[in-house]
Amino acid sequence: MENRLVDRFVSLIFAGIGIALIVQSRTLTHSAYGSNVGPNAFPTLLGAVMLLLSIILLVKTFRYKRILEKTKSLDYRKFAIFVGLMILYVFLFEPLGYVLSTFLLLIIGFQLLERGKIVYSIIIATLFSGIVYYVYVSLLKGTLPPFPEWLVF
Amino acid sequence: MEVLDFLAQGFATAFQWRNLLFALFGVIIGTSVGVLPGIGPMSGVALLIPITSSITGGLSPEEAATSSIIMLAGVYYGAMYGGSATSILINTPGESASVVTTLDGYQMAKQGRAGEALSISAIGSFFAGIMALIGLIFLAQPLSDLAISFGPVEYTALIVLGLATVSGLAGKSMIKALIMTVAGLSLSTVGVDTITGVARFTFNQPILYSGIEFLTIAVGLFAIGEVLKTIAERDYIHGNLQKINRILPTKKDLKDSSMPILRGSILGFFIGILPGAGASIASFFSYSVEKSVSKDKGQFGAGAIQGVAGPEAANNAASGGSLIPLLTLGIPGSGTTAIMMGALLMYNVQPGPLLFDKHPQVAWGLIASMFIGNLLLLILNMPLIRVFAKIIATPPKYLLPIILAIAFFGVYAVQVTMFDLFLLIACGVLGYLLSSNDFPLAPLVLGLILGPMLENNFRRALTISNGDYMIFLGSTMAVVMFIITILWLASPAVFKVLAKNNILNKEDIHTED
Amino acid sequence: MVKNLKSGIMVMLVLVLTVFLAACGSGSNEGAAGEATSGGSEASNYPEKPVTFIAPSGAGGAFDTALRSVTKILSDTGLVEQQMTVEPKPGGGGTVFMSEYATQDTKDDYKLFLSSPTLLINNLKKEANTPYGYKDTTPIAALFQDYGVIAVGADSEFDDLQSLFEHMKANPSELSVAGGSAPGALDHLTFLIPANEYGLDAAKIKYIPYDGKSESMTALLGGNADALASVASSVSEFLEAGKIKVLAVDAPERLPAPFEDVPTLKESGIDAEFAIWRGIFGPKEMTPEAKEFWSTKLEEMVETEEWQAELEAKGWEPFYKNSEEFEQLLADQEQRITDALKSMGMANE
Repeated sequence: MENRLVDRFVSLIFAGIGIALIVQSRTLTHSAYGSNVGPNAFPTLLGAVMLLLSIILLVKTFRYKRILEKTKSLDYRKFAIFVGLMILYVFLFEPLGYVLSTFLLLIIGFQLLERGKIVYSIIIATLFSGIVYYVYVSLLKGTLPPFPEWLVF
Repeated sequence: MEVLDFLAQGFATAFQWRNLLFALFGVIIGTSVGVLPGIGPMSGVALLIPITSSITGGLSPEEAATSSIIMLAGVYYGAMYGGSATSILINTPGESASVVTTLDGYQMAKQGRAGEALSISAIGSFFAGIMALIGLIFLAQPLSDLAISFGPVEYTALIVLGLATVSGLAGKSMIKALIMTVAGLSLSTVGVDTITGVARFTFNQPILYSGIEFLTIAVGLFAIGEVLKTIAERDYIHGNLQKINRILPTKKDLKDSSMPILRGSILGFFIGILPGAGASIASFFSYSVEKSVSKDKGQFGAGAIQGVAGPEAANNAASGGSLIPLLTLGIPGSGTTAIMMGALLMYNVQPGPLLFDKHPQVAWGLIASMFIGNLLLLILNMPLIRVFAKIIATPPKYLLPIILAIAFFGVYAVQVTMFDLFLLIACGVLGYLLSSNDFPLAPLVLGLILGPMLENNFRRALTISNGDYMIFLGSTMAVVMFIITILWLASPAVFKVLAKNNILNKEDIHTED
Repeated sequence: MVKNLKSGIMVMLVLVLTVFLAACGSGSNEGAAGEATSGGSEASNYPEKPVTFIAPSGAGGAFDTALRSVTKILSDTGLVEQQMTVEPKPGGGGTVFMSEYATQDTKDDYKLFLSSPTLLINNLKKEANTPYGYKDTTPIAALFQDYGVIAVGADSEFDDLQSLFEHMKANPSELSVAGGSAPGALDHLTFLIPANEYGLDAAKIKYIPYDGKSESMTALLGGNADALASVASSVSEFLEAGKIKVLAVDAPERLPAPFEDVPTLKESGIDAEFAIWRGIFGPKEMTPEAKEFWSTKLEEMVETEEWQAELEAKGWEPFYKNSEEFEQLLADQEQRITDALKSMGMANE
């Protein structure tokens, strides 16, 4: 698999994070009143450990044996669609309100996974979003985005 | 014996019909609230304090205090159990103590053993509760002295040990686990520093001042990550997940879990006593211990019942242990006990070193209520397991989007920011990418939880010593813990050398060479 | 193509249904929807849902205790019918809470908090401060005063403040002082101001900050700190139980039991007073209705017998100031704290 490449890439990213931690920590104050250990000490230490660990991982990747594993064919298309759907959901969360946006998320999600049984989908999506909203907002007095203003009459 | 007299009185109080009803009510509400991610024991108890006070309104103050504390104890245990249920069923830890339950509990559920996982968790919790109760009665005073003598140095050592053991237990590669741990610790430094108030790594974004919320990260990595994985691997197409075969554990399951439960209870109780350490460290420790004593390590992470029984017992015992500093010294050992303490204050019962002298009825009633709460939980949940287990019999087509919706709801309910929702999605994608490349997620979450505790104690210790790092070697207890840490981290390397010479355990070294 | 058409129809259907359902649902949800948008256009029925009081300190700490007393009395006396919950929010001596409150909750009428001069100090000290001060809030009322104390463990070798200070003078950086708030914040100042007055070098006093007053008390009891700076109400139980010795109280005269044998700072020969008020604040853009509601209720509350009894029980001194008086006090105190911090080189220039 591409395990080797991925690990090499990831170890470089973490090494970068380690260096960034150390560099960023230098901009923090070095002392606190009543103490000579400032808020910079711990992140600096973490950055150093992170850098060290990612170098070890990087070195290790060169010693990986090439193991041929059966690669599963992955459905990246649907994966991406779902990520997109979630992002859309969050964007619509406040403008449309909890019930409407969640209803849409569920309906589209159900249908993306398996076409058909639209009536069931609608019933389940309506029940879920409606009940969660009612219980949480009306009974427990929690906060969820309400229905949009243009719908309230 | 005076202690036993008081305890008997406590039980008499707790067994009154009214109080039993309160406890029952508490357990039911707690469980139903606990299944929602984000509403863990702490917010569950907090949400219900107003309701309790109105229900107990007609009673005399002392009685009202006892009854409401019994009900809140019920809520607490119920919520803990509800949190474990979601960990097992949909890979969504509701609070930090049930993160570790996802590792094997969810695997069990995938194999159609959700019923066993849920019931062993209830049984384990019950026994742990009883053990903690016994410990509480006989060891409260001596242990509370020991617990408070735990200073910054000892805490630092304990947390380092905890992080190291977790890194040794999850996933195939220790180096990757350690990287994830450090990444979690680094994430925990984002936000306003709790000691000095300096903003760190916030890039002037006010939203980052309060730090990165554990819940968002955990729910994103575990729940959303798992949903995305199922989608990418087309796992939902093969119809339903496994049928639920049974509800009660088999004889073999019970036999396999009895020692883990015992060990988990003892471990959990002692760790729980330390103020602030609490249930999450206890559950992680228990998991590490079980994995290291197990003859069949390959089972862990693939549905080992020991990996559910031990940690579940440990986190329940820890909540019992955390009552010790509360009752003997008036120091709340965990967030939840702090809220319970608040409930006591509402009735003018001041927890503190004088609680047992001034309000024995309340103090012992609370202890007895622990027992009742656990018992009711066991009785109530056996039938409930059937209902819970139905959840995963839902066709994945419906289940997956609903899990997404629950995850978003849980995070928004607690955080109420758009930022956390976007972070949740990012964590979901990241969780999928990391776990599919063998970077374990649990160490990252634990690092995030324990980061502030580690850092603050580390800095306190160095402040006491004027910056001299030798202070960490000045305490015997700490030195012992550091030595175990080093041995633990070094052991895979040692095993590897052994394996090269003999033919020891091919499974373990397979991916690293 | 047929597939696309089908899904197009489906989406349409979904949307139509959504609108339909929403229209049905909105009738019953009007209250909830209106809540977010109204802001005093109609007659005020504030508060319509539970109100949260934030204690920007650890659970069980002084702020937490104070708020629980306040909310309990407000509801016991029937002054406020709506549920009130208290939520501790530890971290950075209140700065963590403040950064969030002053940026995200500026309009939330249902989130109030209690604070002390810490609020001012966090804004004024040089390092580790927050850009947000009392001007980013709506001061509602000051309620009472608490007094700073300096304590040591029951088996400590020190029996009075002078011997402790003498020892620290002779052996700087040997003893450590625990407190429940950030360096430069209230507990630290409770110790520093008298120590400074006595002639100790402020920079050499080792101060170990904990997340709250019960955590710092734990450190003292467990022998992980040599002295403790706290307030009277947080230590009284422990003094009564004989677990600690209180060396001095920062009060104009001796406090009632269990503090009757504890000398004041003045008696210990140190002339430095630093009174610690506790007051309730709302968000900066609080609606006039909400502000009016709480001002009235709190003014009524301080007159009740229950409140008087509570003050006595907790060892608090009555110190009621209404919104305007409170704001004046804050302005004065801001000046005084700036001066004090400047003299120690700790002011935010």
